[in-house]
Amino acid sequence: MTPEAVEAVEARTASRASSGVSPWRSLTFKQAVLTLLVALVLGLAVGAVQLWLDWGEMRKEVRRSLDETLSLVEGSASEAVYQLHEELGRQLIDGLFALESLRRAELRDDFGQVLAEREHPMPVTGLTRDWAWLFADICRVQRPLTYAVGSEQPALVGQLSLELAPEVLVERFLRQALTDSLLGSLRALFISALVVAIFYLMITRPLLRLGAAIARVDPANPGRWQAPALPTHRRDELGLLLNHLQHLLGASQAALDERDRARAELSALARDLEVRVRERTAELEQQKDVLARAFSELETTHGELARANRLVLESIQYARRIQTAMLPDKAALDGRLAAIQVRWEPLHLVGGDWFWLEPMGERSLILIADCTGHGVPGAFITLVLASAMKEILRAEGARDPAQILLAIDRLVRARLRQDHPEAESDDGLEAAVAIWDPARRALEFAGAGIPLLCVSPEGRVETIRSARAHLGYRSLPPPEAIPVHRVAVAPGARFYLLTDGVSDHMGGTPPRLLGRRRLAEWLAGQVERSLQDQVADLQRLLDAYRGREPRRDDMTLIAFQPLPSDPPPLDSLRE
Amino acid sequence: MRGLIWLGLWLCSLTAPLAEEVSLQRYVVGVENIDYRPYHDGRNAGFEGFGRELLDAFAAAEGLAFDYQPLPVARLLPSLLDGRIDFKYPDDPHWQPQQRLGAVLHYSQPVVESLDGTLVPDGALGQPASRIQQLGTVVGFTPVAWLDALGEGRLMLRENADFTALIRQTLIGRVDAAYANVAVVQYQLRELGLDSAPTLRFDPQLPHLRGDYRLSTSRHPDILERFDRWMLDEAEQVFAIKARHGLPDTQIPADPAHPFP
Repeated sequence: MTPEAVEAVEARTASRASSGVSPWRSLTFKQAVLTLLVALVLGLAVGAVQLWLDWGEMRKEVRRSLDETLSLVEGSASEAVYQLHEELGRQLIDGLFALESLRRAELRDDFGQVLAEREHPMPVTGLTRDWAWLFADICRVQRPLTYAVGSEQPALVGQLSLELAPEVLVERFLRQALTDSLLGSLRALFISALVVAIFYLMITRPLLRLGAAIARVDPANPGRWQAPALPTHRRDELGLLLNHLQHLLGASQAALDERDRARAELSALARDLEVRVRERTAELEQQKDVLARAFSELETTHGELARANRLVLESIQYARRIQTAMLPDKAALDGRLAAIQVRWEPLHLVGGDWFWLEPMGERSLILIADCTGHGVPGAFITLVLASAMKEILRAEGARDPAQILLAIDRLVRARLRQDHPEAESDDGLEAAVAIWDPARRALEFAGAGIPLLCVSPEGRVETIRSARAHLGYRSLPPPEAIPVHRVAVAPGARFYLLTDGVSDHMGGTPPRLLGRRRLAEWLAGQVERSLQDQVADLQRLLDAYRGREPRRDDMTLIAFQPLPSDPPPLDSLRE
Repeated sequence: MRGLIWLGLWLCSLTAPLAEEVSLQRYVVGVENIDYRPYHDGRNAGFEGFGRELLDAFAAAEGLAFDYQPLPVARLLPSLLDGRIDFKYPDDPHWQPQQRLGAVLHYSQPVVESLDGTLVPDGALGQPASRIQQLGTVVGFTPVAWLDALGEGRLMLRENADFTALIRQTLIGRVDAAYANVAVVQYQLRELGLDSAPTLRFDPQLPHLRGDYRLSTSRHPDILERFDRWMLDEAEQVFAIKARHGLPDTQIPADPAHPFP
């Protein structure tokens, strides 16, 4: 198809497109009406302003014309009245009637006599009379006439009076206004028609062509769209619109092509995925069978483990009963001390901590021990220790704290066969012994790895250090000597023996150990409370400090307060 | 001593006229502002000629002082009637009769005779008055001798600014005749060098009017009486002044129709 043929088709299509719109609703008609209205309104407004300006200008012109005329004839008029030259005055007055609007002229001398005058009646219509006020105030002018003789000052010699007919001026003004109005209306009509034609040729017709062409876009193949020929709009907004439209349709075509490609690839992927799913499902079925067998075996194993665990727990609980049976009665020293609190809490059911309370005549023995490890191994060591203590206190009759500790070392080594080089056990313990002698109101203390905390009634804390020694342990030499500390006991003083499981609680932010020093300071601040409450608060303090952290070791605390003097009745001392 | 006496006399001679001038009564005399020689010349805001010399002689004799105010001829009478001037010179009761109606004016005895006549080019001398259709005159002058013809519309009057214009207009034929004071026109012809043929000549067959120039007033008739008496008493001086200005040589034919005896 030739370009001319394409253009003809577009024109027909555009015509059909526009024929679908009522002529009264067409863009061209609206634009024509709007342009005409705007032109008329603007014309009226501008015309009114122009009329007002013309009125002002005409008034100025009348004044100027009168002034010029008066200036022109002033010399002659002065000469006429000075000479009292009636003929000259008449000629001058007659000459003034060249002014079309002049109704009356008068030349009067300074003697009050009229030298010359003339009046020209004017035809007056109702319209001009009604509008005469427009110029009435400027229609009467008088010019004093002066004359100078020689070098004398000019003297007044007469007066020239002119009177214009305002009706003539009004008629001229109205005629001019009517002409201007008609010309303005014609101009508005012409401009409107011109603007409409230009608008139609420049915008409406190309838009119709473009709209018709857009209507022919194939939604399935927008990229194959034939753009209309807009040869005179290549570089303007319509050309830009056409370019954007072509670009948009091209992009749509590319997107459609891409969509088709993606759809094909997606179908292939779906097919491949189905195959894979089927394969994977088969594999999973196989694995499911294997897993079911494994779960079955695991369940069997769990059952066996639970049974074994139950047996272990039963064994341990039984061991706890045994270990508990090996501990002394916590009331063994009741009546010998003002108060005593014992907290023995193994980490598990059984532990490596152990204590012993025993009256020795008037004296009272308190021992605390922290054996190697915890749980069942630690418990076994406590059994060894308990056996050793029975021998030491019963058979050997040891009564000195240091001797007791040294004896423990000796017997533990012997019973665990640590004195043989081939022995497998390298276990031992840390321990402390305190003996309260009420007769001398003194406390004898000896420690191997466990100190004694002394808190005065005033809240002063004193730590009596232990010897740097361990009891037992094949790899360590036996302690050569363990010092014995004798402490004078003030009335109300309290003493604390504790294993490191009490002070080694981990907590706080950042996490760190509570420590024996902070524990001692806390105890010093609690002197006003009873020993029982103090130990219960200590338990809450430790739980709060530890928070979510688990306990790490067995924990044993023995707190006691010696009697101030003679022992009170037995019932009042029991806590 | 003698020197002091002479000095005193000299100072007295200087101050005496001053004192006399201060005591003089001053009057304004309205005069014509035209060249009307040999009678007078009122151009350029001054006043010269016979009239000035005569009035100055009278004033000097009577202890008066005249200030001369040249005015257009037509403005003189209204100025006198309006009281803007004390005296008018020259004047004649026949001039501008309409304006004088009802006015009380006083006139002196004739000062000098005048003859207002019709002058025509040499070739038109002796023609009848009916041939005169356009009559020229000088602005402010009334052609009294032709008033009837003018009133009947048989004649058109053309006024000229001065005598020179009147003479030239008549010589080139734009007007048929010039009506003016014969002595003045003859004086102007001589001044213009036009006193040889072709020139203008007075035609006694055409309307003319003999008259006298007088001094007039509305408010000072006593001064006029003193003026009349002075002219009688000083007739020789008056004659001498006229002679100096050539007025006695005027060829004025006797006219029995002179209105003033």
